[in-house]
Amino acid sequence: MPVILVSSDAQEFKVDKEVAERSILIKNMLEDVGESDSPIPLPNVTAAVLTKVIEYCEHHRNDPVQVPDETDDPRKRSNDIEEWDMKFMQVDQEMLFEIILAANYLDIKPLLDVGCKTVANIIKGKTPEEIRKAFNIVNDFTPEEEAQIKKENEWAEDR
Amino acid sequence: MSHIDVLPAEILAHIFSHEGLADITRQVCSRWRGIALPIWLRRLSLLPSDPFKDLGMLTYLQSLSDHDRLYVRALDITSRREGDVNSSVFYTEIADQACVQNVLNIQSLLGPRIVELAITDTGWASSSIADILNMNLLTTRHLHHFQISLYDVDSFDLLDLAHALTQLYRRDAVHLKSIALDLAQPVAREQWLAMAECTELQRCHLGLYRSTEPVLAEIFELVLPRWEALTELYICQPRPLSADVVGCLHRHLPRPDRLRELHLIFEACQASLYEQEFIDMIHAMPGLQTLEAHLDWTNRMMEHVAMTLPDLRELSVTCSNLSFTCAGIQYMVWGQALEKVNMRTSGKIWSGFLDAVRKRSRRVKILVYGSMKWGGAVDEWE
Repeated sequence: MPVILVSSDAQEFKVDKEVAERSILIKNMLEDVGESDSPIPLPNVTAAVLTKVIEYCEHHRNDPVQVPDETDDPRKRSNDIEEWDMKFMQVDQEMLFEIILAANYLDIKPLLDVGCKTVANIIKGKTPEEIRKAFNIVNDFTPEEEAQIKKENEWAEDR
Repeated sequence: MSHIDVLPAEILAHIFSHEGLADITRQVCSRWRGIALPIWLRRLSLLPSDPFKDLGMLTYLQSLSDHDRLYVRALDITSRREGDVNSSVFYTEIADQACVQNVLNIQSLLGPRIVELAITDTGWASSSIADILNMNLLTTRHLHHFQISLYDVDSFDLLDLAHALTQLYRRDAVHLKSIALDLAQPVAREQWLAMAECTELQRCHLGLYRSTEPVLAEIFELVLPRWEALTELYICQPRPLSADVVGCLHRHLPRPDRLRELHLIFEACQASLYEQEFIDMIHAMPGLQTLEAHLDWTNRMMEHVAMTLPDLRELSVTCSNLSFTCAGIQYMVWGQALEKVNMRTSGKIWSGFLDAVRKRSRRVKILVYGSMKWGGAVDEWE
């Protein structure tokens, strides 16, 4: 049975229920309203972003449901992104952050994970200055904070 | 245009939690520092190998102590003096005293914040380990994770150390979620009994490296019956697996159906000796998601793994049994969750194995090592 999703800019998307239900938010909404063909408004997601999110959910429609990982694993890895996902995430930074925000809002954990891993991979291997440049961030540290960082780095080296 | 600042703190924290990123991201800007610093400090390993450097760190941590988010959690007590050929006995003793003093200082300062403790006797005097543990008992409230590796024979003869360990298990019985033990010698029955009281234990790692003792079946009988919350179990012992051990494992576990991860690392032996017990064990553990078994396999064991474990995500197999071919499993319905198969075998793998596994899971990765022969092309396997 198809479900109609409405983006923040009032564009309608007809998608299979099982695809839409990759989003836990939508799944819960559908369970709450029962059998209904009323469109589901998604006021936090634009049509452009929703198109990408639906593309992701279509591709992963048959994936097993991810078991929530409650362990706070210190060795969380960012290098295990599937090839398809990696290509899917080859978008400009604006779209990347929008996809992450949408995945968070729609509660699509695997998409959120892939988005976060993609950002982690951009950060990886760069110096603080290179990171600032990559994300257009201003260095706003006070002299005291700079001194504290220096101290931390002194005793943290070689660890 | 969207800037990375649009991401809320909890998402940035999720990103910064990836391997090693908290260290660099704490140095980027004030907002990132506020998010990354607690993650970095939480992951901090205090290695008391350089007392003077650590003194600077302690002063720093003290200066931050009013900070709400400061939460040093893991104390990894590892001596780095192992293999230092230049160290004279005099130097070693002095350094040991200074390092021990340093660990005691760290514990007295940060004790209530420490909930994870990892300790090994390599490079330390056994009596120092006992002092450190006793101090830990005095200063920490309770531990969630405790890891100890004892390789030195003297460590096993030291009553003070044994007593401190028993006390620690008893004190933290309702808090310990994870215990990791690597032992080169048997420990007293009293210690196993104290460990058995850890009723909230979720993860247990048992590395028992002396080949003749301790006898695993007896240990299982002592410790397993009250571990209702156990979901991950790792057992390593350099001796052949027996039917008795496999049988005891699933019969004494009160909730084998809750087990999600099982690692069995043993020496190769005749699989027919424990085949039926292994199959019974697999049927008692239908929730397994990770199964690692370094022991001899038979085709029948593999068939039952395929049939019985619908949630299996990762399967690691090492097998030197030449008659193990994985043949006959093409009609098995493998669980959809299967993502990874690691296989090290000298047996001849039937080429249909790959198709049989892939039939239900397109994401499966199969890694084959060793001097195996295969029915299919090499690239099918790698």
